[in-house]
Amino acid sequence: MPAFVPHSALAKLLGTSRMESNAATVRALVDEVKGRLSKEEWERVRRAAILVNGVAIHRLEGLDTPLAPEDTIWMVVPSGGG
Amino acid sequence: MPGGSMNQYLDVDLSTSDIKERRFDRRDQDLYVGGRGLGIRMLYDETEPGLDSFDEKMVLIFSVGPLTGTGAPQSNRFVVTTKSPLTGTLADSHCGGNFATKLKKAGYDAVLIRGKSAKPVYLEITEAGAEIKDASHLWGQGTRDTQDALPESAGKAVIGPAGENRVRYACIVSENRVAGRGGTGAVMGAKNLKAVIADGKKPIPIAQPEEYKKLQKDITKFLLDHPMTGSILPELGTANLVMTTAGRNIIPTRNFQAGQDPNSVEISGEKMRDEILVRNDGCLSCPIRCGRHVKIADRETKGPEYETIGLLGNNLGIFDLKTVVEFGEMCDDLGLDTISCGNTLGFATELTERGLLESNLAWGNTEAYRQAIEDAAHRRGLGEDLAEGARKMSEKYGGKEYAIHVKGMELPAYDPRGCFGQGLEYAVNNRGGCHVRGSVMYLEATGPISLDPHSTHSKPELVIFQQNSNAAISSLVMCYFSTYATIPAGAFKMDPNSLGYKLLTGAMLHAGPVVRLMLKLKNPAQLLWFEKFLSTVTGKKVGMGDINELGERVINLERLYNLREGIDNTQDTLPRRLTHESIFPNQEKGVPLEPMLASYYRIRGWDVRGVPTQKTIRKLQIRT
Repeated sequence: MPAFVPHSALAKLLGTSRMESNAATVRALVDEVKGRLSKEEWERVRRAAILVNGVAIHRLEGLDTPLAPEDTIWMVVPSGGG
Repeated sequence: MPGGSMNQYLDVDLSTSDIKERRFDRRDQDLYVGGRGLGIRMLYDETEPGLDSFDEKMVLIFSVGPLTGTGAPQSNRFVVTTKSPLTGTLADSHCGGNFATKLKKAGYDAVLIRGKSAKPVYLEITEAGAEIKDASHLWGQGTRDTQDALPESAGKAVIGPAGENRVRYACIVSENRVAGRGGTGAVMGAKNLKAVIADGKKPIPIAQPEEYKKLQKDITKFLLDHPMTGSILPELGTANLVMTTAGRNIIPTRNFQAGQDPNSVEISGEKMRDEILVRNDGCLSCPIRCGRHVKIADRETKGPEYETIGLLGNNLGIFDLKTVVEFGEMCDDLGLDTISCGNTLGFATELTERGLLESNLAWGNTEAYRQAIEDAAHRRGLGEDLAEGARKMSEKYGGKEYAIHVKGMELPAYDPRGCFGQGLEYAVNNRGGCHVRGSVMYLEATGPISLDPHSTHSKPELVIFQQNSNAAISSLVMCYFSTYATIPAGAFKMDPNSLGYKLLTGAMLHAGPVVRLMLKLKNPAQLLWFEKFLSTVTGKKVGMGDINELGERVINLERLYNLREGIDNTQDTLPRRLTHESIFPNQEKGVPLEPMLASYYRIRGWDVRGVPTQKTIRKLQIRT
């Protein structure tokens, strides 16, 4: 079953730092996550890169990227430091 | 006297106790400015070729820059330059805290230390000059107790047992900050020099004080309003990177055998903020305050930086934040670079796993690692090998293909298989496998704009641009974290999954020719605060092109120093694991280094063997 790791602000809203999903595509996963939030909450946290096994979805098939049981999907925000 | 300079440096001979005040060659000061630039100029001039790092005649240089002590944001930093006992290349290591300002206000732009004392000593620098004092009572002490035992008001740069025992990656500690990389602490130890302390209140000349004051106010506000320097770094410290690098699959895991672990969240900046953070900490005159002060087991201590978490946590299979805090604290007190230490421990663990080394090291074995850190600092048992670093261990036990270093310097916590430009940067860096000479990973993986991390397009140009900038900034001297604010705040509001973002980053990936043009043109414009600060402090008008040229000059002189010391382009490489083993699905290999390397040399004005041409040397006015 694909695993989803949200960024921290989203994790707070979802109440978990890791969840499993039956979603067959990234779009289905995003819909599932959106469904657990209000419209305003989703608007606040949606601007984050979605990666499947470390690769940004815009370098795959975008929201239509298919998911396999062993996949890990992350949403990450910009970061910096040393 | 030019603005921003105290116009003199100290020349201290520990063998003879001779102390002189000397003046810089004015032309060198103009060409190399300060900090890293003047450091390499002095190292090149003051040492004979082939000198060993621990030779009595080796020099150790503490240098500051024209911005130091002026109150410019992020400018309170010093640079330590010598020949690295870890790599055989130059070593310059950079540190915040308060020492830099105290040294400059004592009246000096630099201190050059040569010779070797017959017994442990420390050097005290005040407005009245310098004095060599007995440090027998401090020898064997950790960096915390050493700092506590020295005059409270002074700025301090001290070593711990690791430096005394010449551990090849021993660091120098100042307050809670560390000049970590390259083993500068070991060179200090080889000279029997336990500490350098400085105190003074001399005013620092500023050529255009009114303009400077306004600029200081404006830039401080700008940095505090910027998402990265005003929000992300203050809120989470450098540990803000953990979740992003894990998501990007580039956080070192079990000696770079993987790029993430499901447990990384347990040692993240968010976890630190939510559970153990007491307050933010920062260097003198820095508005960002990215340092962490945390509470564990009823005591307060320094919170770990991203690199410490990456190498002493994730890389060793340790996902307990309090243990990582403790390991970071141990390394600082013993005087060990956390990056090299964690990386070497990871390598030793894999050697053990493969039956090539007999030890009790195992992923996640906290007790074994705790003991190994102590042993490395004191060169006891297995620690004798660990103290030599990953490269020398691989020469003795095997496993060269997965000893994760460049030129002998262990890699930090960005796996370049998920940021190819960073891979090139590691390979060509003059001091070895280091992430802060250009930080191209910010433009590829961690920052708000991600230029395809698995493309080689325009990466040589970007590496050169970033390296030049950072070399110049660390000659001013400023903290390179301020460069994160050069990406416009608007970029942080973009949706990274949108078509617009895809088109923008796609177009930027082909900006190589534009960057090449920027590198060539001597652009007189003053767009960023670096050239503006330098101009108002020194009184000489400096443009963006001058900043780029300064950085280029510094990097070329470093290259020439390395070549003189026998470090040639055969060492501009990456360990086989990073070029041949993939950690991404649908990718057969790692970093495609060779094509990027050839372009890099060409654009730099170097020949195919990575040697600066006479034309390049002449253009940059480098004296050899």
